[in-house]
Amino acid sequence: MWNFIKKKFIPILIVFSVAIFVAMGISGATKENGKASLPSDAIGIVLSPVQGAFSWVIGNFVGIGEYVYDMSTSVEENKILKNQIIQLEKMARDREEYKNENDRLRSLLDFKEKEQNYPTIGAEVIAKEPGNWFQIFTINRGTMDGLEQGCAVLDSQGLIGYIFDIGTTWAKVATIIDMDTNVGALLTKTGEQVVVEGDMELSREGLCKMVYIPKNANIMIGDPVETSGLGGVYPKGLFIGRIKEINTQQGDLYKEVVVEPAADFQRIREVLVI
Amino acid sequence: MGVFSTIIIFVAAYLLQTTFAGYIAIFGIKPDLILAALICFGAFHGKEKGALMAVVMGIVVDLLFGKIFGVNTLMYLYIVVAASVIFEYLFEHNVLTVGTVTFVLSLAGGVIYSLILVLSGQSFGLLFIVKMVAPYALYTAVAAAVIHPVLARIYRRYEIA
Repeated sequence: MWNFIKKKFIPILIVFSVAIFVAMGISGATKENGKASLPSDAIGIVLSPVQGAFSWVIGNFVGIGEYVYDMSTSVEENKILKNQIIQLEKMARDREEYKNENDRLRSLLDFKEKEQNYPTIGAEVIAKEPGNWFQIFTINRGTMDGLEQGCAVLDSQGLIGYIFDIGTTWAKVATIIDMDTNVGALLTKTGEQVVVEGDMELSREGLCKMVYIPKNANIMIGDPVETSGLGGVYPKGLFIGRIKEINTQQGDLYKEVVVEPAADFQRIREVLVI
Repeated sequence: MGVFSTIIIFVAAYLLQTTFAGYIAIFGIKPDLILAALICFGAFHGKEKGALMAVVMGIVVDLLFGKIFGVNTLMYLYIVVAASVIFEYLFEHNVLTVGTVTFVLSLAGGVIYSLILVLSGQSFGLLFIVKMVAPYALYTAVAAAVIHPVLARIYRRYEIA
């Protein structure tokens, strides 16, 4: 067998390359339904428990290192956090006042607030995309747990992405910083509809961009951005992040806006799937 | 070939790449431990066996992570075959040659990959490709230079290669 391969190595390589190119074309043309192919699902089922266990070990190993580092910086951090608590307490009091005022005004307008309680399923990140080009990771839940393609994924900080490919016991999540992802969003402050999309260059720093912002739009650094619910993938009102940078080039019709997502994509371990 | 040791090496490379590599990323750039392991494997076992393992690992990565099936398979296959052919011409391989060959070929592979992305509609500048691909190639070369003596030791100890 090896002798045959050695003798006919170049023809075998050419035939194999052509076969892969054909498979590539077929894969590109049939990738739209988001359901994993049978071989992909089978490998995922076998590997996901192993990856989960390995990821747990690595996560804890790194966690010990982080704990030691955190201990050494905790005194200074404690001072900062105490100051933040004072500020947050003040903000909470202000918020309570605003809420009461809002309730009063709503009842005056006879406006019924829509309940936004979505059923969620907790999941763990078991693997991250091996390359540097796409911002994708795998979670340990799949169709067996009731998930489906297009489900939104978030963590305690904010929106992370959506399920774009799913198997029986696993699902692949494309993050909002991935270059192929677009999110219908709105500026919480002004209610203006925008689109947040991934950008190859910004994704290295865990950032994404906001596009189609008119030059005269009233936006400021630090303004919050949330999902608009348009497009049908993400429910309305999920926190995405805050505006980090606003660039206006002379002659351009639109502003270039960089958004800092609330989620820390380098350290995602547990997520919620809606 | 030492089937058991080969399975252990590549399962370890795959698991480390998908779970651990993110933690050692520098400026968001990870080394490709799978590619580094494949090049080292090709150096010890020749282009035919190297190609076989490149295809196996490429298919696994494509099935589990690829947006379009086949891109990683072809990339791994051509890089490993090219590296193995170079090592055959050099008559020897060591940390320095493995590191250099890995750097040059992963640089070329990264540039081709980014051009494929540009052709498929992604927009990023040439400077970005350099900023992204050069550190990736360097980091992968360092990984190969670390993996090569480890494999040499394993193969010497168990007299596999």
